[in-house]
Amino acid sequence: MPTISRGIKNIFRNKIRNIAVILVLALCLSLALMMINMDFSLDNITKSVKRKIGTRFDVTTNYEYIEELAKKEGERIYDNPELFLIDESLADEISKIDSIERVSKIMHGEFKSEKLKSFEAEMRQKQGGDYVVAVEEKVIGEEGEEIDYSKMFYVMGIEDADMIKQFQEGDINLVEGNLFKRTDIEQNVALIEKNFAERNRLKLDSEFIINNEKIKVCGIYEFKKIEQPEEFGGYWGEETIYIPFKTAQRLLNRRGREGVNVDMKGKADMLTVKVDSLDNVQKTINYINNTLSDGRIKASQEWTKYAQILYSTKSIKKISTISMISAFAAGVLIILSIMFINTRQRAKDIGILKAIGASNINISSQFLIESISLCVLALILSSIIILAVNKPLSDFIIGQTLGRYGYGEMWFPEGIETEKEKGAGYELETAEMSPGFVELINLKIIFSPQILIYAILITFLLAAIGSLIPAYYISKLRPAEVLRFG
Amino acid sequence: MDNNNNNNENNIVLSTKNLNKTFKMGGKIVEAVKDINIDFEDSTLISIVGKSGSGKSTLLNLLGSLERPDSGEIIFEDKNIVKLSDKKLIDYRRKDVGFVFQFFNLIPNLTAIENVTLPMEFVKLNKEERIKRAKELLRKVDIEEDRFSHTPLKLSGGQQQRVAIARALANDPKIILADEPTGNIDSETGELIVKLLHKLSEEGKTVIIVTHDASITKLSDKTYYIYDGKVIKKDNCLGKVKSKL
Repeated sequence: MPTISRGIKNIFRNKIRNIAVILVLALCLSLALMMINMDFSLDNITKSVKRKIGTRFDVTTNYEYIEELAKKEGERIYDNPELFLIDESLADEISKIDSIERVSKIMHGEFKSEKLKSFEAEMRQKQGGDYVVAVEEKVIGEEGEEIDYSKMFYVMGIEDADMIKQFQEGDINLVEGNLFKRTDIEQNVALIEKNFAERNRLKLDSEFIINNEKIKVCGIYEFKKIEQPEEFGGYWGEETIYIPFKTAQRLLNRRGREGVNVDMKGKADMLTVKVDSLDNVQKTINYINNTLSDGRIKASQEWTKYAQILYSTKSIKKISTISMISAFAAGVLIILSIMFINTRQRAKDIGILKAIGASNINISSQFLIESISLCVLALILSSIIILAVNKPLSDFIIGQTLGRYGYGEMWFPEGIETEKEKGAGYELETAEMSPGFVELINLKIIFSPQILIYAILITFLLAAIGSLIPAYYISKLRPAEVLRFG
Repeated sequence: MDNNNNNNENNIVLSTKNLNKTFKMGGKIVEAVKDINIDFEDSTLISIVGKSGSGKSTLLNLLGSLERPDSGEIIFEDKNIVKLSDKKLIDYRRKDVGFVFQFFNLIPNLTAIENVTLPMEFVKLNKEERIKRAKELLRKVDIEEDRFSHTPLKLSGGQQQRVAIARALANDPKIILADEPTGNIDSETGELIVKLLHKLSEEGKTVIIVTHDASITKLSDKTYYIYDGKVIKKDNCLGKVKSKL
């Protein structure tokens, strides 16, 4: 105990110098801890993204192949919807691969309805005709007419709801009714979004029309809300209507060349494939691309979609790691310097203590306590600094990093004078972003107990390093030399 | 030489045998202590007198184990302390010797009483006992109670030296080693300090004072004169050495 009180007392021997040291140490500690915490948060995002990518991958049209074909055969090929469809037989072939757990077929399309009211129609009603969701240009249909998106509704035909990304990632929660199963594959049932249901006064077992067929509501889901500015409706939510795959095949006929309807029977827009383990994902993708595909279809994981977010996360992590190491190194230098000065100035005290029977450990522990006290005071001060600076600093780093890679430009709607100048402009438009991206821009650096442990460890590590020089000096000091003179 | 003349071996607390110590200074080897043989008896005040650089302080440091000799023996209670491990030497400094320095060497940010309790911490005496004993010792060296909580800077030179003596007595050592204890205080206070040290020797301590002030010898039981690291006994060589000092 006397050693502790003497160690603490020593801090007051040079108050101004030690206050300056505590301040600088606190800045270093704050930066190091904020960066460690940011690292943790980014790790969680990376883990979450990787978990979401998981063992699932998609088989879709290979657009690179189509583009190459268009160069050879001309733009006319784009008029052939069949070129963009996948034969159902491919799904059967893929199912035969050993590593495959499940293959699920998907078909999507739009239908026009004068009776149903869309989100866009509601917003137009509220804000006048000016409301436009991300679509700046007029969309012209196949017969030269302008397509009114406020009357268009997006439909997705699925086999298994649990194979759909939005269900897997928890973006969609069923609030009423049931998900349909494979056995419902040809029935006229639908899962609809809660806001869409309320807007159109649809309840469970209510019916609405898709392309002249009555569809019964079998379930109502809620889409994870993404906050948006008021001018965009205050939130953004997906209002996809999910219907069974076979029903979609029947209802979502497409027009081909010369306006002839394409029979969608035996076709799908996309396959979602699930393999038995992460190790087999790439092998299976390669097998499908190299053996089963003629080049027109392509198996790929959503990795590409998440690659940007993982790349950004990596860049931010790099900055935070460098900052953390630099801050820690600066802290080490400061504590070493100050303890070196203290030790040299107190050489005589050390000599006296040795002469009156103190061991090297007795004296070193006094300096260790002094070093710990400085670091603990710095840690207390750093918690205040962290509370004040953490959010703006992490926002700044994330913003700068995302801005550097052009995301600000990429996601920012034109004509809106907002945060664009701040670098990233990431606070607004999130509609086009991958889930990881949304998590990244909304990254909240919350200090967990784990960080507290790190804070204590770093503080004591700094203190221990700080007491190395005194310990070495004490062991080498010959008291007779320093006690001879006044 | 002293070892041969010793009449009462039972009273010898500390003795040196053929003690040698050299230092390297600017590439030259300086023989600070040469073949010193002294017996220090119990309850005596012994003065070691010599001019600056004669090796007297080095001898004191060797006796207090602050330095290790190049050769020779220092016998304390039948043990050659030269051969002791660092750990045992720390024990020796804690329990068996007490130091008094010319520049007092009190810890500046500790109060008088804290300075005195400091050596007791190293022998793990409990707090109450430490404070009780420190107070007794401070009273013994005539420090007023209201000065107990003063830091050294608020004490006069004489008071500081008395606190230093109290600190030297903290763990009740057999030997007090005083290096120029009057060197930094006025002659009147110096006399009081020497009297105090003499009193301690009467109470059973072996007090060894190193000084260049020959007047201290008045109260000494024995005086050794040291010149160029060598010792000449007072009785035989006093006049001859005095002329060289």
